[in-house]
Amino acid sequence: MKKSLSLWLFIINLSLAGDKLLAQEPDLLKLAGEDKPARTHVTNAFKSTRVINGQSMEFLGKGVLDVRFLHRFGTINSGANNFFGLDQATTRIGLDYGLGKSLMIGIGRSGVGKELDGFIKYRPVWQSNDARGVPFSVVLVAGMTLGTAPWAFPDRKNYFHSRIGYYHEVIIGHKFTETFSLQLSPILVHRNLVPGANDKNNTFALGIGSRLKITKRTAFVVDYHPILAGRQYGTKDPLSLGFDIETGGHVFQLHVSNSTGMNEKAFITNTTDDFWKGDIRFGFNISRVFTLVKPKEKKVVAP
Amino acid sequence: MVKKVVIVFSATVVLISSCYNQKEELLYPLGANCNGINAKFSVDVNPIIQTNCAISGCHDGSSTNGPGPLTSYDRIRDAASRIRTAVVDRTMPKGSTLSTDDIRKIVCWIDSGTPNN
Repeated sequence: MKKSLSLWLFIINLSLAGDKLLAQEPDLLKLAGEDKPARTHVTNAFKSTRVINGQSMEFLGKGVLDVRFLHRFGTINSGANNFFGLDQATTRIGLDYGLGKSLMIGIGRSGVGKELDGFIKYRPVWQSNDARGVPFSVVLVAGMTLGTAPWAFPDRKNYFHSRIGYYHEVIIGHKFTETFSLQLSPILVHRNLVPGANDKNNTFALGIGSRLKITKRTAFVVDYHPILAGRQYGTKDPLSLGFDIETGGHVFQLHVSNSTGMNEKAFITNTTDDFWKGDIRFGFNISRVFTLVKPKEKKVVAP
Repeated sequence: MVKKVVIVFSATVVLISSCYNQKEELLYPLGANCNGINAKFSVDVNPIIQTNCAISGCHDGSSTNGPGPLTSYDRIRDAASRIRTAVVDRTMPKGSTLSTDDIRKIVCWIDSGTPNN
């Protein structure tokens, strides 16, 4: 984990340095008596703060609460008798909140493993398409998961920390055009306790997320997390393909996936189905946003 | 800006501070929890698996989920390691959970070498 700490420090330093460098230019402009040109930060690279399973480069606005209902069903190839998997369902209910333009937090609870999860997400670099802007966004996510199921063996010495897992993620994303966005997100998942002597506590994956807008309100999304190191025995790379449908304050994300996990630890270390063998399942995310704190109106200065 | 970085940084430090690298198999060595448990495949393990796992939509004869059907001794033996992981961390069975006694029977039977008894 020391490596992950130094990586964070390095990125935070970079972002601080970057900000200072950028901050010098407006001063020069002020000296020259020119108006500071407005930054044109890129928004709506993705419709939601999640690509499908993984975090996207998008943020909630400040003071915005996002209530999220996630459902994953059984495998479609389990047949008509199981209504193509719809007889089985697992859920995650979550709340995300925007603390600032580039800072948000979220909590949730998944039925599988009775697992709580929470994360903090911060954007040190925000893509902007003006001349002095950075052409990509960098987003940092740190999260924690806590299994709350009863101990399998209550009479042995169980440790609270055995219930805990962590993940750290760096998202580097670029909105190429109004229709196409792509992000790469290396992610490290740590589990304090793994089952086998040969299992690794750290799992490293590379998230690849992309959106292709079809119409104003619908988009095709891909969320793929190939596991590069520390694969849990018997697990596969999680792959999800889906459609985002936006209707007012709601975003519906309908997709097919080989994973049932609905937090980073779960889908990276516990996806046992093979997408390419047809073990895919239907799932959806429903996101409803509420503006709890309205942004202050800007005072108009009389000329 | 700096304040935000401090918040993110301290949150990260707090998260990392309780990091362990433990393996269940080493932390709780084989057999240590199986004293007095003499789980047999035919009497103990197979009935639990047939009732909870080898059911329609999960691991019955036509299943393609994970290790596939868990309907015979051979199939259960071949999937033993995955079964052990899934029942211990309670990711299986989906939508319900086995009793501690049932989990213990499965694990102790697997740890004793998956005998066909």
